[in-house]
Amino acid sequence: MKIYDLFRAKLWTFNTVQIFRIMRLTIIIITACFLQLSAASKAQVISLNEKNASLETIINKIIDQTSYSFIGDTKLIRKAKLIDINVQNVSIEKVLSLCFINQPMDYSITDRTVVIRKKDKQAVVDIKITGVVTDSTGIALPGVSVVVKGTAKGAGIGAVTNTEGKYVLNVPDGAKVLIFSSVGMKPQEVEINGRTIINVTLKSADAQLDDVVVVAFGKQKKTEVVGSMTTIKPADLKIPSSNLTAALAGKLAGVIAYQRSGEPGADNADFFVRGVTTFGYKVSPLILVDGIESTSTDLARLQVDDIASFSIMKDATSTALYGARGANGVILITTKEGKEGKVNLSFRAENSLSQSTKDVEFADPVTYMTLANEANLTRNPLGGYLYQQSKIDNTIRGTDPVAYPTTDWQKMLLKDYTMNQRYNLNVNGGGKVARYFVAGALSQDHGIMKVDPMNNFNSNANLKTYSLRSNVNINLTKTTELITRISGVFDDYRGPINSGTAIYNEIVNANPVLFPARYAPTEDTRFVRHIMFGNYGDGQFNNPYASLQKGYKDYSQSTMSAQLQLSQDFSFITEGLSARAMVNTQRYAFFDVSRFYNPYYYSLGNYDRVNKTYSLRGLNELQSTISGVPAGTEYLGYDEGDKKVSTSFYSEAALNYKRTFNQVHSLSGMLIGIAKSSLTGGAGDLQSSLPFRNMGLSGRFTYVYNDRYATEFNFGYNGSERFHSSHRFGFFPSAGIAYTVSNENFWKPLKEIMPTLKLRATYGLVGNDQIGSPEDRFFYLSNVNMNSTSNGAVFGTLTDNFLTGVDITRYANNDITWETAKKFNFGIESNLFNKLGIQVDIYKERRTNILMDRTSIPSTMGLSANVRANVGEASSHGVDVSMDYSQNIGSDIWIKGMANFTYATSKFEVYEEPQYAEKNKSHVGYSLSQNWGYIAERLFVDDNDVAYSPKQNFGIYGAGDIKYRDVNHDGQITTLDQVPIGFPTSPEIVYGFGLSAGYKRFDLSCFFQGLGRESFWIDGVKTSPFVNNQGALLKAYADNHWSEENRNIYALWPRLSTTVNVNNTQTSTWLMQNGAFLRLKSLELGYTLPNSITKKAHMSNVRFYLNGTNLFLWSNFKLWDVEMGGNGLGYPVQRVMNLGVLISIN
Amino acid sequence: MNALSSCKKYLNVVPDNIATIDNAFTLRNQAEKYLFTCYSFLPRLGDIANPTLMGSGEMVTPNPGISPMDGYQNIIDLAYGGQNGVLPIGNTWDGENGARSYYIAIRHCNIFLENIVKVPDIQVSERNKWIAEVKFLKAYYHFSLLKMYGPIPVIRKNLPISASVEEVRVKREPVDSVVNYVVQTLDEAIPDLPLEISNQAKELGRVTKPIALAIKAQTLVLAASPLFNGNPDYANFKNKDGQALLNPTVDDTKWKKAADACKAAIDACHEASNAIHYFEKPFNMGAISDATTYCMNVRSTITEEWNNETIWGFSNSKGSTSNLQNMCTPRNDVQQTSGALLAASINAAEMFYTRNGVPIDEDKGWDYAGRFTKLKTIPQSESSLLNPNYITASFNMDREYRFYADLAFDRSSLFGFGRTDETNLLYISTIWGQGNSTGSNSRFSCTGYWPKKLINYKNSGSSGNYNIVSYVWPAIRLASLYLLYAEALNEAEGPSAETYKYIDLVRLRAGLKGVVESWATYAKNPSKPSTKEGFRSIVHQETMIELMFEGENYWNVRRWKNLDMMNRPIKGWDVFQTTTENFYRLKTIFTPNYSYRDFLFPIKEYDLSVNPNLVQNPKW
Repeated sequence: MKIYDLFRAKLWTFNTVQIFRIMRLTIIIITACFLQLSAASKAQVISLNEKNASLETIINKIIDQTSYSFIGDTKLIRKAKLIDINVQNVSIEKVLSLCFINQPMDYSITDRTVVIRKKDKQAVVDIKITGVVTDSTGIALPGVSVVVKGTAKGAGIGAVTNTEGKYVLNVPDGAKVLIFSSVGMKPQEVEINGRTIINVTLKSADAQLDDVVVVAFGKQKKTEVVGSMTTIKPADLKIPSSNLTAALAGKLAGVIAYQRSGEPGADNADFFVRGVTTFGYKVSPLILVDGIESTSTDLARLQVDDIASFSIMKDATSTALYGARGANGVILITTKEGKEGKVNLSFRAENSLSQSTKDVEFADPVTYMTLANEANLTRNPLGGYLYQQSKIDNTIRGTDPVAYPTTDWQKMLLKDYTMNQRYNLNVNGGGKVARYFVAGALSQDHGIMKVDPMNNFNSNANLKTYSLRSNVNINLTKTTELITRISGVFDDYRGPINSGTAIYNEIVNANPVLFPARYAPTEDTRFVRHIMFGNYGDGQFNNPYASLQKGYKDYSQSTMSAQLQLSQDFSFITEGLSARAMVNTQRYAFFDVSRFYNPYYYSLGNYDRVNKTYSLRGLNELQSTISGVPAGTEYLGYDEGDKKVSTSFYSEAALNYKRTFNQVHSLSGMLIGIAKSSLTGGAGDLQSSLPFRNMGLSGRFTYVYNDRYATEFNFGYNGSERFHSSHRFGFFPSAGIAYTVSNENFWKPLKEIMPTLKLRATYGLVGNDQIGSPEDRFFYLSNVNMNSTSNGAVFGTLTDNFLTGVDITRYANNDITWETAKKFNFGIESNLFNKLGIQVDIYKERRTNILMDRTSIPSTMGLSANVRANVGEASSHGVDVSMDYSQNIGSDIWIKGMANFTYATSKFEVYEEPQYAEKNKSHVGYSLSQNWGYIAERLFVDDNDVAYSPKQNFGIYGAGDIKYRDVNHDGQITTLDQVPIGFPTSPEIVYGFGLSAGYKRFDLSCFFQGLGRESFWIDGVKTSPFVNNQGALLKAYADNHWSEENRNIYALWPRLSTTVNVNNTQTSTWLMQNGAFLRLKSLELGYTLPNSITKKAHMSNVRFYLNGTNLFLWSNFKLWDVEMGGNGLGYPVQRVMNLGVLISIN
Repeated sequence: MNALSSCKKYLNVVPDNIATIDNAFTLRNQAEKYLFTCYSFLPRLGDIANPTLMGSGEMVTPNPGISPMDGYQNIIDLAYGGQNGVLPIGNTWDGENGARSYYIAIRHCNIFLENIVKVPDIQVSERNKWIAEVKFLKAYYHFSLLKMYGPIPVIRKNLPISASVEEVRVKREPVDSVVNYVVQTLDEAIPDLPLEISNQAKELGRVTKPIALAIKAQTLVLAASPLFNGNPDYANFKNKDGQALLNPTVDDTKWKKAADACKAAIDACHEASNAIHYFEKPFNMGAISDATTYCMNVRSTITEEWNNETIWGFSNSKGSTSNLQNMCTPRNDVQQTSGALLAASINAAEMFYTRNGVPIDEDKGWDYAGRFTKLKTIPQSESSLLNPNYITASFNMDREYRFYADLAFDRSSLFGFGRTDETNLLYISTIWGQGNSTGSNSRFSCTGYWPKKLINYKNSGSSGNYNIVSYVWPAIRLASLYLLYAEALNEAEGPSAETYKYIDLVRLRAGLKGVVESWATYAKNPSKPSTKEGFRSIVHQETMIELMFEGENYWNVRRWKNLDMMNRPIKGWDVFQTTTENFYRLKTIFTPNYSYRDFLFPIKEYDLSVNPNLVQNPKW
């Protein structure tokens, strides 16, 4: 019985027990037990004479001669040196002391039992190891503890780095591994391998832990993960912009992203996880910041310095727990939390210079007039000259800039560059009970519009964004943690009444020769106190300068979020059990106010050609009845814009169980329930005003065997209020397995070359309720507008007898339900020589039950709204690859490289459309963002050519207009001749690669980004020159168009026209462009101040950096920045040069 | 279990009482809204966007449109021959491209008819009246589709939303069956319709018995007309199953039915005290000459809203006539800001008779050959109509009063704008650079004529202002019924005292003598009114003159299958010239190239793909 007791006690003290060891030990004990019984009455003195005997032999002899028993690890015992011994009738103590001289083990005797164990204290000679510990930027880290692995902290074998990061440590001979640890840093184990100088770079604990990854509602060990996800170090997302979404492209494998506009406040990039596989309205991923659903604007405003982890969930298992919300992928972000230790302060300041990457070029005024005349006459020989030759001649001569104005609207309105500033401050720290992280940021972005000095208000865009975040963790008890997260983001904007994009559109739509932007006061008008804007006719022409200067708009936008989370460890009930609950509420508010005067427009009157005197004639002293141009005012008017308020309330509760049995069987389970409700204050109609709700129960169960085999099962059971009660809930299971081959024994020989290799596969279903359009709140209800003005009528001699009518905007359909995605993913993760990491994921997805219009219903049904059903199907597939490489050369140079590549393609599988005889019309098999259009063959040579070609049914056309191909040979060009043209409008390939290197205190990094397999179309309508007498003329069109003199049938622009020619503006291959590009997205040079200087200033780290974005672009398209695609006449993407400093104090 | 039910509750966010279609019929007041909904799809006839205004060639604008006309480019395209099957202009089948869908309107009518019985708080007599009104509207929408597309699917009852694909793929029905359906539905409606609107302040414009009878007459006339009555061009116009969509044999009894329907409508109108409208001079207006009176008779028939000739006024159109008037008004000394772009073509101007009441090419005493080449000085005696002592084309002289009532042109008077004193009349000048009526590249008439008929003389203005008095568009007026009757009766029985009587009633208003007398006295062929063919030609031209610029001639010309009329080159003066001699040179603006396919609108190609049972109209 005693032995048994001992056995139990022993088990307790072995702290690295492994099962086979226990088995061996048991054998010894059992053996000993039997022996003991037989030797119960033996003498207690021993005689031995052995040469080169093993300790095992000696012990067996002693057992033979005495009633003592032995306990110890056989493995350990076999390590003992061979023994020479010759004693007669001595006590066991004496024998043992002789046997254990210089043995690597010790013994003790308790009640006739000899326990053999490893020696506690090293008597052998210590080895002195020295080194320097730095952080990843090369800064020396003081206060880092260095201990030998396997020794208790109190055991004395340890050291702490000094203020220069140096340490000296005496380690025992047998020591193999050192552990470096420090508050705020990720602990690191380093093998000694006989070295005496060991320099170590510690990584910040903020960085994604290598072996632990953030997954839905928790964390997993890397070997446990079966789902497909991409994680990125937040620092890699740092760009000189106050819009985080601009940094996504090319940085994250699996994300398709591109930026179409550079306007402050409206420059969010479009981004999709693995492209788009639905025709519903919600195609963007779910964005979760600390577990809370957020908008892309919330993401845009997030400070990189506040982010602790950033990951993208791509496949079914990784998103399953989010249920219906995660069908289009999930972006999961956690913000930093406070860490135990003294106050850590970090401050960043940046100033950047921002300018358009490329401005659109327009034709000069003389060319404009000449070609306007050409446009008018070529279409209508009776049309006459729009601009008399005398005006053109005088313009060339520059006779009088007032009478013959030439206005370069771009120059008039836009500056060459603008300056933006960003500041960010965060502090963290805390003690045993509470830890805090508080961050504040301020950024100011300016537009590039000019301001007239006569205005005392500034109408250039100026967006100020403030944000504040406070995360506090409190240990209520040893097992209870309370976390509060409060954050607010506030935008204050002042800018032009119309958006910057609208100003750009006006520039494209303004006549350069009809009038100047403004007139200088003349003798008659010297008392005028307002700006005398130029105009023509009734004042109905577009004067972008007036639009810009007439007033300004203020908007204010704020998002507040408060979150409370309580975690309880229930280990006292059963080990590994914990629970968590969280509530969050968010409030959003937006309003805008415009203040403006109505510009006074003037045109030239009584111009005296000889004396060049003129008077100015006011055009809008009164409101024009015809064009509706309002009468000018000198005082400001006022207009209230949208006021949007919304709230949301989110709660979740989770029960967690995670335990490892027998060291090798890891089991975990989690159940989580969520409920979400949001309300908006300006919904516009009753149905939209009702609360938006979503609830679900999800679960995850994992089993991992010995860090090699991992399996996972997930489910989501979700309800959505949008569906009829019979279809309201959906069940979406998924499962996956992962196999870490490199942890197998047989892999050992390959471990040097390929330290890790892991294979993963998952399959599952995900639901989506965000289908149709957001206005379609309740598919099972009809939507009837009982006060439709357009369906109203008026009768009688009294004009006020108007009654509104009834309009049906949706027909009820009880059967509409969840869109379902079936997702399959296969991934490989590997690492070569611990230097090159590779992760490859291949996926396939099929969406079914996609809501779409029933096109089988003809117009004769007389339905005023489309009838829809879950009939569409689409599929997608693709591959995400990411690679990273790091290498140190000597102690001063480090190099890191990264590359990633995303290919995502989609196609219609089932698409309800009319049964065309023409195969080219069918969507099936083509990308969801494929465009259909006509094949433009060339321009018509002459009217004869027109007469002998198939009739084109898009309005009037003739020589010099685009000739389309009659694909179905029915003798005319109709919609049936449309074929899929070009690549999809959303790129199928997005890639990026970068290199960074450091030498001593300098670091340099560059990042290239590109995309491919994308087509876009020049907007033929918007770029049509001369329309309404005011469409501007692109230089490219002026240089290369069809004219009667130069019948170039492959000219860029067809025959000119003073109106939009419907024939030429059909979607066709004529204006189709390849959207592929590669750009030097960013370049950064950094310098870290030497410690000696930093220390004097009581700082821990100071780094200066100079960086730039969008510096170079390679593309075949030259008219504007190709990334803007078809939006090229809008606010250009910006090139930014930035100077910044980061200061840390602790 | 408890948790589950509370979950369900959580997602049950929809309160009771969400508006559904049933709510529209719970109370009379709500049901009245639905009644108005059925009315709201009536075409906006007095609107520039009405494709038949410009589509008839009577009015033109420059093409491509100049900026103020930009919103109407598709209508301009239609006039210039841009109709197509891909995106048809004025597509009332689908409700696209400048039109609302008549099929949606019909569905609303059916919903109303199915549900009106549910309304508890409505008097039986009122309910019956409403039912009759909506039945009328349902017939009218079918009739409008028939005019545009010929054979159409008739929607007698609504198909349920859940109808199978086979059910929804309806077929076109032969013209005769559509006509029968329209007539039968009108006949059902007529007994419950009032003869006149008693509450004029609130209900004028609602359907009455005379309106329904007039539409019935129009339907039967259309069915009897050459386009649909045994038209050999449509011999092969068949459904996919071989069903002929037009009766291949001419049936002259259709004209008799049509004439009877016209007479019934006229009688009902008379009973409802409709009569040919004559201008009533306001007490505060000074004396006006006979010439001005005749002109004002014609102009006020259109612009004096709810006058006694109006059988059906489209009250919904009132707003749009303001824009129309603006575009029809030349800029002048009183207002200098009108839109002024809608030009009357010389083709329209040629249609009018001489002062003697016969066509210009038939008048013995009128120099037809020299009409465009000779210039004349205006005598003082014409001062009510023309600016004396100035020079104008002989084409503009010695014409009937409707010429001067309907048209504004170089040297013509512009009675109104506060200038009603004939010693101080407003005259316009259109020679480029002279006067106020031209001189801007964006506001001019490309022919030299404006459709003055549509301009309310009550409009006023100042140099920077144009105040327009809009009016309710007269969709059907008595004169058109008279002419329709004369036409139908002539086709059925040949000319007679009855046919002369009704055509002469119309002529009388314009100061013209009867057809028999006029032709006998002035025409090269004095006996023309006595033959069926002769009278047909006379009544056609009379109709075109009388209904000029009202959009009706678009349908009439097609009904008559008069391709020659449609394909006349559209002409105007050389308006950019700055001297009188150069100005009065004839220019062709464009030459239409219509073929017989243009008698019907094309069905959108897409619809044929959606419903394979539909056949396209011939040659589209």
